[in-house]
Amino acid sequence: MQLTTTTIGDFPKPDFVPIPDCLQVTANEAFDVEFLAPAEARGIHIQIDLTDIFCFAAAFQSCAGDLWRGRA
Amino acid sequence: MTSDGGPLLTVRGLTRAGIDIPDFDLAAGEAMAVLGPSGSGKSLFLRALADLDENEGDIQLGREARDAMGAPDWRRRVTYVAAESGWWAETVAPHYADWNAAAPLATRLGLTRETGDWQISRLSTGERQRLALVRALIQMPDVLLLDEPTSGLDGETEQAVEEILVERLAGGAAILFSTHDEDQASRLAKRCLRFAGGGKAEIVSCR
Repeated sequence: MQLTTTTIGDFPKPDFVPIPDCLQVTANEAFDVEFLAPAEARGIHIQIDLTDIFCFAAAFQSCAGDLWRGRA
Repeated sequence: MTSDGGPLLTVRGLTRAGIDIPDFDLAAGEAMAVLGPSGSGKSLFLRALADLDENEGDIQLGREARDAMGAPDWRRRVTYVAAESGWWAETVAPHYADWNAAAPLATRLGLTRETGDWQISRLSTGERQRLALVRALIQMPDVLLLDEPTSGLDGETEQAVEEILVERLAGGAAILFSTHDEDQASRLAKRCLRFAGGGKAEIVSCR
């Protein structure tokens, strides 16, 4: 099975909204405070699927002001 | 065995960079210990089974092929607990869909209902380890993949963890767990997957 492995650093700019539905992130990346904190600082909200903590979804404010949500 | 008589977990041709795994089946109610020196591939193996890293193989849960379900669905049923657990909120409770449902299990592991209000930053390594295990157990997965689940625990708490794992086995779950403790391996499992150098593993009888 192919995984979509990405990091916040791979996100497109906020005015360009295609975030993967479910971000499959390796554990070390996902739970590194240095990984999550910059995302929040950039206004990117990370949602963690509590039934699969390795599955992430993200929502953030686009430049147009629309809230885009992606979820597994 | 499942209700239809087949194995609960079937692993064929599992490959990922860095490890060489033999084919094996795991029956409902069966545990297999994963042994080997640090860096030999134990965690890579468990992560591959959890579908957290790119891997290939014909993996089945009962009669359901892993490739036929999404990775999150797979991990809800074949649930991995990393040796170093992940925490993202400030306190414990938000890491659980229902902390009140998790609290009784946490209490069995020496924690309290009030632990839900504790700051993550004040948790010891052992407390994090127990709480991560609880987070997996409350989902009642078919298969548990546990990466050194008792490595940071005292003897009494280790025994409490093992009692819960034995209960889950009696209830029909299967467990793969890595450990450096050969005694623990033989207490919980009859078969061991033993890694040697170069990431190559073989299945042997536990001592």
